[in-house]
Amino acid sequence: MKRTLLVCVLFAVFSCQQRETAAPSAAAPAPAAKPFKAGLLTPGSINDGGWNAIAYEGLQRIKNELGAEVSNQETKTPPEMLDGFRSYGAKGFDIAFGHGFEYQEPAKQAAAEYPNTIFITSSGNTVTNNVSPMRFQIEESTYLLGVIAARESKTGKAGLVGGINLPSIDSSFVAFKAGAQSVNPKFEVKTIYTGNFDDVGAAKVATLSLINAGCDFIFHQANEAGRGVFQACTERKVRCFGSNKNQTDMAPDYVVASAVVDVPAAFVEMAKIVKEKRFKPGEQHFGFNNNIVRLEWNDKLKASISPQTIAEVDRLTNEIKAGTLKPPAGF
Amino acid sequence: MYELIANSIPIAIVASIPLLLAVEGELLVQRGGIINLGIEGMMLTAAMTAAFAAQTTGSVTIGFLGGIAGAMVITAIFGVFAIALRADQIVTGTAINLLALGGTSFVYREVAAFQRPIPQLHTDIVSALSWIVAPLILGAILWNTSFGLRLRACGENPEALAATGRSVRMHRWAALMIEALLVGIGGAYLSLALSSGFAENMTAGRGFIALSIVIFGRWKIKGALLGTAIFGLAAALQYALQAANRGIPFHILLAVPYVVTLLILCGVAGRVRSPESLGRP
Repeated sequence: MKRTLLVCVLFAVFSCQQRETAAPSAAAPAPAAKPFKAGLLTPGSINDGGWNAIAYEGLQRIKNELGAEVSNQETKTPPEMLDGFRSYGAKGFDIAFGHGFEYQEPAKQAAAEYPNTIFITSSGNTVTNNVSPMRFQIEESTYLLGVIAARESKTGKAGLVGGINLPSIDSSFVAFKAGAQSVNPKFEVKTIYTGNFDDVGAAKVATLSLINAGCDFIFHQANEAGRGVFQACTERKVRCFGSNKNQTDMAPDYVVASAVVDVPAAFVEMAKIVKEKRFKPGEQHFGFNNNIVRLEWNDKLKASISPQTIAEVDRLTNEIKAGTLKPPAGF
Repeated sequence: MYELIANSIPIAIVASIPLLLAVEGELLVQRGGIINLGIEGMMLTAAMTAAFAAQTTGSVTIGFLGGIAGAMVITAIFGVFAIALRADQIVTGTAINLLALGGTSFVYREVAAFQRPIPQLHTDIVSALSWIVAPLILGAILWNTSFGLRLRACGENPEALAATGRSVRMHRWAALMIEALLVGIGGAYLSLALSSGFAENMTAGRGFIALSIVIFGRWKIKGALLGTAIFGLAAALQYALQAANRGIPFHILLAVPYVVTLLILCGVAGRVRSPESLGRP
């Protein structure tokens, strides 16, 4: 509680200072070439090594690759989020990112007041003239993981371990199943949810149960608790897949491939679209087409996969890139 | 169904080890009159120091020693406040939990060693230790030694022990350190055997479940073993049921271990009576 209070006070002081400095610069004559400005609001610390850290990494890449002026703030409550967005609008930022579903309402409010700034939320469905969500189509790669599992499985069964059944997790599972059943309609995909993203022990027990039930490929969406999944797969010598980033290191002898989402690259791409005035309101899709979502093989194990499967995955990859194949997302 | 149960038993035995060690440790200190609410934080700290020791040295044994050392350090902090300075035990325990959660998350994000591969555990002596050896030894200590008698006196009537010229504090410190030893092994097992390394908040409430099993198990070793076994088996079984895909919503299955444990332990043992001086500084 004290900490939240401290953060609020610091934030208030900080944002006041920003407004003060913003006023004179607005009055000054505009320079010939106005620098591109990008702002980022995160719901947590940018040192968290996860969700917020990848957004900050994206912002740093916007600074380095696009020569942009960047700024970031940590905002936890809706009023803080709105203030953060307003500060970027008032200072004439070209693009302001709100890193999460929860930024939609504040973005909508601030966007009405500052029509020249484009507000982007990470996931969500709110769209106005200058508000749009980014959507990462991880199902494009989990569909292919399903194809690999169904073609390489000996038991005809694969298992999925999820933390909490959020829409983004559910959609990646739906696509996995669809991919597997496109190969063999009778292929069985079993799903277990553990109810949280922390309990590695539960994730391990869930994985062992799936292995006992005959699954010989495991895919997880349990974030940090995924360590329990890899531990169980290593112990029982069962092949598995990595999620969100390349997780080959977690079990080098058993992770066949990973469904990778390159969030920092998506931030750069989004900023580039806005900088080059190509922005159109609506869901901003990031997937195979712009190489944000990828399937990354574990080179060490690729030799153990049949050449036909690899060729099939390559063929499907091209179809997804070309837009002729659309993996289902379940919504 | 029989096959599901048969398959779940070995999983449950292994997966409940950290919980069981925590229950055993907590039972001992509560018999001595201390409520150690910080058991969650102790286990989390042990899980982290164990992973760190194992990942930097590549040795599982050193990992376990690291876990024990980590648990002892944080238990010593608890002991200084709760025993030496006679602070409120509930408040101190809560503070320990917050300290451990924040501290371990901070260190985990800052230290690169946690990204290294973790050595694999090959021979598992911890299951035998926690399910057979530790309960026998703890039972013997509590009921068959004069130390155990005096420790129980600390929990029931510390003034009586003090009147015999013995130190209540020393007995409570001893009990705390035995708890730290057990919880340290439990935490190390969590990050080295149940997981491939540390993860933030990886204990996920085990310490609190341990506290309630001690209470529902009526502060008896048999109750503690039974409670942990039922909880562990119900947890493993509900995952097996999810995998079997019988069409039961997983939200309901996730609640099963808690409900079953509560019902069975409520029905089993008789009258509840907690140690008379539990929680009094």
